Order: sequence, then C-alpha cells, then structure tokens
Amino acid sequence: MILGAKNLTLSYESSIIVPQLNLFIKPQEVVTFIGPNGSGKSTILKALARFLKAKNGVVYLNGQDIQTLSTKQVAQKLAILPQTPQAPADLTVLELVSRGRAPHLKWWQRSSSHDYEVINWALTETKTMKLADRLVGTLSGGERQRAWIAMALAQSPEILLLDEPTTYLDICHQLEIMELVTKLNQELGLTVVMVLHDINQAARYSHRLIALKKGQIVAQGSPQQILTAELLADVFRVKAIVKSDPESGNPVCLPYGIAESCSECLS
Amino acid sequence: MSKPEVAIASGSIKHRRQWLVLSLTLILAVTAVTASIAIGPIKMSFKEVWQILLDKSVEQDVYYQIVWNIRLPRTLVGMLVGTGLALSGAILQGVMRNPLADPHIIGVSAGAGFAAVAALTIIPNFPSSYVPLAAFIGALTSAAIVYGLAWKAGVSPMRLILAGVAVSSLMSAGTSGLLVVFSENVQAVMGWLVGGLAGRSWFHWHQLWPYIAVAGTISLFTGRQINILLLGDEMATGLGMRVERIRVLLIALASILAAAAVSVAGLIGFIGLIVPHIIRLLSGSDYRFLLPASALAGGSLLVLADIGARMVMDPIELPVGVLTAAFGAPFFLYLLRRGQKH
Repeated sequence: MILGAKNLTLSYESSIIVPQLNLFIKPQEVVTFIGPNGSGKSTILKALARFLKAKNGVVYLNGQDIQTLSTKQVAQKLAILPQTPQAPADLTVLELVSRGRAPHLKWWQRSSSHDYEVINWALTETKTMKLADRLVGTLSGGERQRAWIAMALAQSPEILLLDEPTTYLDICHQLEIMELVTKLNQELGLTVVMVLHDINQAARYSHRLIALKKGQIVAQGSPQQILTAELLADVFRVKAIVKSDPESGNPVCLPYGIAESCSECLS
Repeated sequence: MSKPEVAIASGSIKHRRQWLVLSLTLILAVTAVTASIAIGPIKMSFKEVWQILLDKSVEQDVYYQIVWNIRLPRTLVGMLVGTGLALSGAILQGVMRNPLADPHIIGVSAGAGFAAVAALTIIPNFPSSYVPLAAFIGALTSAAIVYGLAWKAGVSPMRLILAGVAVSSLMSAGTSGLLVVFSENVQAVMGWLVGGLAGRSWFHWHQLWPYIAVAGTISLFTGRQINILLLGDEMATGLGMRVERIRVLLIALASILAAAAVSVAGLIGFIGLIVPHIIRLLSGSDYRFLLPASALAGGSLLVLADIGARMVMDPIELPVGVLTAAFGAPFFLYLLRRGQKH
C-alpha cells in the first residue's frame, strides 16, 4: 500500500461529508473515484493530499501518518493538481514547471543542473517543451493542463493526484490528457489517483474504479466487475445500457434516462 | 544536458528586462537622494553635494551644516519610509493575491493614527517625541487584532481583507471621535495625520532604521516563497510549503515595515499600493525582482515627491502625499493603458 486511509471521517465545519472510509491504493495503480456531485470525491482527494485534516482516522503515505510527515516530505512523494489552479498572468510555462522543484530545494538553494534536467525531462514527457517560452495565461485549455502536469512531474513524485483533469476540455484534449496519464503510469510506474466525471473514460483508463455515494464506497473493483446498469441506477440515478467496448473489452455505458429512484432522492 | 535550450532564450529576454529595471531603480534612488540634498532655498550642484558628503574637512561651512543637519537626515528618512511602505505593499499584494492590498488593508495605518491621536489628545502634555512610539505600538496592535479576527483554523486572504476593513473603519471612527471631542488639540495632531517629512531629523532616522533594516533585509529573501504562494494556498501546500507559517511571517514583516514608516512620517498613502504595481508592469510579477525594485523605487518616489512638496509652493510646504499621488497616478495610468494594448 502506497497510499491509504483508515477509518477516515471528513467534514467541513460541522457537516460530515465522508462518515467512514477505508482505502488501499497499491503502487503503480490507476484508481478513479466516480460518483455524483456532492458524493465526496474531491473531499477525499483533498484529504489524501493532506489539504484537509481528518476529523477522525488517518491517511497513510508509505505506511506513515501523512499529518505527521512534514509537508515538504509529502511533496517529494506526492503531487496534486487541483481543479482550477491559478497562476500569475505573466508566468511562463518554464517558470511554472520550475516551481515544481520547490520541494527539493532549501530556501537558500538555487536550481542545480540536476533540477534543470528534471525540468527538461518533465517538459519533454508532457510535450510542452515547445511551449516553454509561452505565458501560461495564453495557452489553450489542453496545453495549460499539460503544463500543470509537467509542473507536478517536476516534483518527481511517486503518486499523482488529479482532480477532474479533463473538465472544460474538448474531447480530443480530454483523451490526450488521459493518454498522457496512462503513459506516465506505464512508463514511469506513477501511481495515479483521480476524480473523473466521465464514466466511460474512467472505465477505459483505470485499473480500479471506486464508486461513491454520500461519502461512502458503494462498489469498487475493475471496471468490468463493477460497472453495471444497477450500479449506475443506484449511484448516478440514471437508466443506462452497459455494453462491452469491442475495441478494448472495457465496459461502456449509454445513459438514456433518469432512473425512477431519483424522485425519492429529490424529496 | 544543462538548462533546456528554450530556457536560455526565455531566461535571457525576461531576465535582461528584470536586471534593467533593477539597475534603473538603483540609479533613480541615487539620483533622487542627490537631488533632494541639492535642491532647496540654497541650491547646490550634484558635485558639491557629493564633495560635502565625502569630505569631512569642511565642517565649519554653512553648506556642510545644511547638508548634514537638515537635508541628509530628511532625505534618508524619506528613503526609508518609502522603502518600508513599498515593500509592505508588495508583500501584502502577494500574500493576499489581491492587487488592491496595501499597508492600510491590515489596519496598520488606522491603528497608528488612532494611537497617535489618542496619545496626543487624551494624555495632557504628551511629548511629541514619543508620538512615533505610540503610533508604532498602535499599528502593530491593530495588525495583530486584524490577524486574530481573521483566524479560523488558518487565515484566508479574503477574511483578512474583510477584518482589516472592519478594524480600520472602527479605528478611523475612533480617531474622528477623538478629534471632535478634543478639538482644541487638533492643530497638534493634524500635521502628523496628513503625513510628511517636514522637520524629520536624525532623531527619526535612529528610530526608523533598525526596523526597516532588519524587516527589509529579511523580506528581500522571501521572493521565492511569495512566488510559490501566488499559485494558491493548495498548490503551495502541494509544493511543500508551510503556508500558514510563511503567511504569518510575511504579514508580520509587512506590518513592521509599514508601522515603522507611518509612525515616523504619518499617514502617507499611495506609495504602498502603486509602487509595486508600477514595478510589476515594468518587469513582471517575479517577486525575487519585484521586492528589491519596489524597495528602491518606493524610496525614490517618496524622496522625489518630497522635493516637490518643499519647492512647488515655497515657502509653504505641501503634504507629501499630494505629491506622491500627483507623480505616480498619471504614470501608473499610462502604464495601465499601455499594458492593455498587448
């Protein structure tokens, strides 16, 4: 287990978002949280990234309580890309990616040639080398997302957390990001934990899906195992046809209506 | 492989610009100091100024007395005050990620004003030489109150700004109240409230320089931290920064810088807000350059404005704040318009 949670209770102020969660993430696994709005996906990701302190329970990183590790130690192992990261308007891609080296530098240290090698490598891996000179603010959505992933890579992490990395992107750029994530997982052995809204993309690019409803795990397992019409009706409250993708053998779902159980949820 | 090739290209253009701006602000600072000493009812050339500054053998000379006892201390105090305000503003704009942040926003000015006015009006025969001390304590207390009110499992920039506005309003109301109730003392207070460098001497210099030297020097080393903080709290945490600790350090630095400045020179507005913007528009938001350049430019702008304040309506001195606005606002607007075209 590289990342995990035990008896985790998460809350904002007094309202409890996640009552009790146990989680085990294996090294080099691609795990995706799926679930409707308000099911606690992003909240769990924030807790795994140590942004949110647990009301109860512990998040483990390599077997140690993440809150007892220094934030710098965590940053050397784990990188996170929030949903809508912000950057000053005049920041270049190169400068942005260079920021990723911060966890490896003491405050008085300047970037060494090793740091530049890593930055160079991160730019190459994400195909952002030719954008290095551009301002982050002038990039298209897909380019910007790759630049931010390059920054996360410059941290040389073992684990990458992504919060809805494909939202706001057109379909081609969505797939481009997913293919990049897959490549990073396969070639570098990066462990990836992400939140996705697109169930078919989640099924296509993940080893394991975790379906959440009201902060609780309803089902988890390989996409083939858990993605059924019943689950979609239960978790997302939609009627859907689930078929097997002839190309990959992964399940694909086609929602065609709102499930009857929905009226109960609304009342 | 060392630096990526593109890095060298991009680095050189942007870097050259940053170093150019930094060099220009340094030249501006030296020029402003020299001009401030040279210009006055008795005029001197720049050459004479430096001869007097470097050559101590002419102590009997009246020029020597004017330079060393009147104009040099006033100029240096102005330099430090401007530096303190500009650095404070630059830091706060970075910490709060808000372009409208300045030393007023954390209650420093209102707190200084209230404490000074309270001391001068309520306490009979309050020695005016203790006004800076009272103002300094008031400023820091006020900043601490603002920080305390904004604290709720951490401090968000938005809560900090709101708490600052609330506390400042309260302090200003208190100041106005005192001025009405003790209207017979208003004259003594007014000069300080309006702000300026008139009559500032070595006495003020000695009160001021330790704070600006220590807090200013430390703040020049915080550029990289602020650069990370500009990516947002979560991203900064994700990059291994102890955000809350760095933020309280930065706010403390900004408070000390601004408190020291206003305690000696009164409520001089504008410098803390505008100078960091001018530098940002000229050389970008990289705080490793923004901080030293703002420090130099802030001091220079205040000293230049002070020359104007002394000379424009000679022998009457104008409040220097009028001049800082008159100098800076048009230039700032020009840069803003120019920036929008790209």
